[in-house]
Amino acid sequence: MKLLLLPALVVLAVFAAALAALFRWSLLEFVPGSLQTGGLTLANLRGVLAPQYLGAIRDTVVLSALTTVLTLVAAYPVAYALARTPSRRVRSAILVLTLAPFFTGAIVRTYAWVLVLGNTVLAWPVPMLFTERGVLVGLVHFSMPTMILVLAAALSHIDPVYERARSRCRCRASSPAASSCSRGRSRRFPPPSCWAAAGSR
Amino acid sequence: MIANVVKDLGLDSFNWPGAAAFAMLALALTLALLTALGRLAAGRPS
Repeated sequence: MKLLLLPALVVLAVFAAALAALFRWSLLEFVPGSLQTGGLTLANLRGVLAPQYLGAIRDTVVLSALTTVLTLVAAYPVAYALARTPSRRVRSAILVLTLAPFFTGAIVRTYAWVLVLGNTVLAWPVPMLFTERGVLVGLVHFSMPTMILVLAAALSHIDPVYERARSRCRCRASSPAASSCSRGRSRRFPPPSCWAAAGSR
Repeated sequence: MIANVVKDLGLDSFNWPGAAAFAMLALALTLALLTALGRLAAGRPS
């Protein structure tokens, strides 16, 4: 049985070695104008937080947060339809359309977005190409298939009975039984943050 | 974005130690966000 773990351990060791090499490089001194490095130093790690780089770090955090939120908002209805539709044809169509971007290369998709976001195909009221808006559109498109599949997998494990019970609880919110109803709901119905967190990872 | 800084430092300036330091920063940011998200989803705000 332990022998089966061997391939996973080999992969882990390769990843760990790569990370260790990266960390070692970050501790070496940069010699300007030379490909050789100097001795050990912490200057590189301190330089990461230099004022000229804070804008890049802020942009990365803001863009990734916006991408996560917009992808979640855009992917949730599609994932819900994928998980709940009774029609096999509709499910297959959604699945094929969701998986289609996986079959095209990242560079091909990027050039397709360059055509769409530029003013060659459509006339945009605001500049899209080479702006943060365009980057956001590309990132959301890149993340959506993964988010849809993860959300659909999470939603498909929830019995629709709970959703119907939840909607009844909403209807009886003013009734005396509402408190016991909400207690039961919180015990049985997974909070939406769980699915959102699963997709956002 | 951090990826552009890494590319500029590594391929344009040949400052590989600086690029590696930024890559470590990106990795640390990702791990911190994932940890925070995991705690948030589990109902244990950090």
